[in-house]
Amino acid sequence: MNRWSFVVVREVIAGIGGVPLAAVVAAALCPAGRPSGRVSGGAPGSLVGKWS
Amino acid sequence: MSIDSPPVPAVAGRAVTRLAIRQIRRSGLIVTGLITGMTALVATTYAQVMADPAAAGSLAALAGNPAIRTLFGEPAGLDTAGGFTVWRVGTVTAVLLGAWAILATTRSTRGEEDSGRWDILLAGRVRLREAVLRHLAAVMVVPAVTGCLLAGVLIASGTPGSGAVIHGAGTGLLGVVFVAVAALAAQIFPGRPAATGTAVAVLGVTLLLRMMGDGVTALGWIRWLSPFGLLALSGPYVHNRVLPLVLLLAGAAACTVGVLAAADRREIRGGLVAAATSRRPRLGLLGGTQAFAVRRVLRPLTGWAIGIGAYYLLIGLTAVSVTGFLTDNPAMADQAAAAGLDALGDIAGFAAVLFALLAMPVGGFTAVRMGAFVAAENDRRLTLLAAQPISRIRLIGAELTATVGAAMVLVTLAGLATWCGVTLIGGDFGVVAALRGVWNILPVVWLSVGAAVFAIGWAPRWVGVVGGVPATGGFLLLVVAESVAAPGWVRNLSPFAHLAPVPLATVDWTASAVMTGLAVLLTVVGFAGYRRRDLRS
Repeated sequence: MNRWSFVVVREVIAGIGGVPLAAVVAAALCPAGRPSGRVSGGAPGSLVGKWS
Repeated sequence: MSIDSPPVPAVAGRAVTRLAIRQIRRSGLIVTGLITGMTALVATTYAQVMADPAAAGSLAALAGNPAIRTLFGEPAGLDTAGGFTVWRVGTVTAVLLGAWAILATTRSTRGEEDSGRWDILLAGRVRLREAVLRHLAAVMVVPAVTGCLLAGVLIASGTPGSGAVIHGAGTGLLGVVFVAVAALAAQIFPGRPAATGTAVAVLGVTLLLRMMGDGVTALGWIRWLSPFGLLALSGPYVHNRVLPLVLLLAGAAACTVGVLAAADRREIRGGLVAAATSRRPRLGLLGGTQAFAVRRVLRPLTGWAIGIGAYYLLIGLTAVSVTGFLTDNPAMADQAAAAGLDALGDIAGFAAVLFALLAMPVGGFTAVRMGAFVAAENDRRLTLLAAQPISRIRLIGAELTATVGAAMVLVTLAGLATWCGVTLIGGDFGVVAALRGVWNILPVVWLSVGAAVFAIGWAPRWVGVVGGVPATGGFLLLVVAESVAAPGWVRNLSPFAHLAPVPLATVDWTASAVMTGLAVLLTVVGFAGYRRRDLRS
């Protein structure tokens, strides 16, 4: 067993760190200041074109 | 007299729905995969975790600790795979889903409106109300699907169906609630940052209400006011209550009605409240290369300082409770000693273990800042500066000085936050001991800085990865080496293997000097490379 897998250390680290880590992951998936897609070509007659 | 709008052609409506789905499908799939994957992992490894009766007893005792109960929630049904899984990952997955729901909603509605894309979209046959509703529905599908898959994963892991359905439904509904809250904020505030900030504040406050309700028995009723509290009150696998889920659904419906009412009463790019259209010029720290480097680091430093400060404040607040728990449980203290944590029952020992982790976020911060320097070069924002009669060394030196100073601030703040937390709770931990402990990890941070500067000179594309190797890579190497009992020389490759447990012990000056010397060497070689190479843009 290593130090970091000891139940007290592990649970304290995960308990306090899990929530901010979850928020960071969510923020990384939806970065601010960037559009939510980029235009990769429009389809004639389409209202919105193609987004990716 | 009102004028009836002509009905929106179905093809136009479907096109908007497809657009909304395209904007969130990738991140939605990742979030769903992470939540179901984490849950499945914990549920399927439950038997292994509980195979050792001592470990099971330790975990049960630890779960009853007030500090742990506040963080993880009220332990219920820990003797079952389902109850343990809900307790272990339920809060983290709920926060992940809630935060994603908020960010995805404001991004695909208010963010698109801010950027001007909806001007074109709404110039067609689709009205604002319908565009908002279709985007709202597209985002809501993700938590709904996540909830269904979550229930499926838990049932497939062998847990009882009733508890799995309650937990899946509760988590999914919590995500739906935060989609509706974010959409409502996006109708009220004319700007994505304000809308996102308000919705995130709602998430933070309601999570805090759940923690207060779980941590203080007399305040247990307060959980009825929070989506996270309602999720906990549903009691999957133990109580299986439906009423909290009905209240979550009612909350989401009420917010959605508010969204549609607000969308009918505002102008495009506007909100229910007015936005400031100008601000006073900010001319501070624009007087030179060094001042400008400091100016650019201040805003990210504030964000990182809030996050790291809050984390270590919580560490301080829980330190007395956790160390006291170890002192009162000799069996667990023996296990700690067997894991090489002889002094975990002492606040200084507990702090020394957790201070080592600080090198990772601070090392990551330095790598990100040096990466921002390369990004400025790539975007040609650095070209004007580089064209001035300023040497390359002075240019990168200004960035390095600002980054090193900011790292010192972050590390010191973490020490002060821990000291504040312990002192507030009545523990015995001196401010000097706290600062000695956090400053002890600085050589690892300097290694990260040196590696990042080296990459700027010789491999600028890889600055983020190379800068993260000493801190994050070194920590992972240590954990893996200790877990598989790797040879000593493998373990010693990690900088963390050479950190003394300060403030419990004295600083290992030899190891610190060697690591700092290596960092200086990497920096000098990086400077040499940066002087010789062309600008990337």
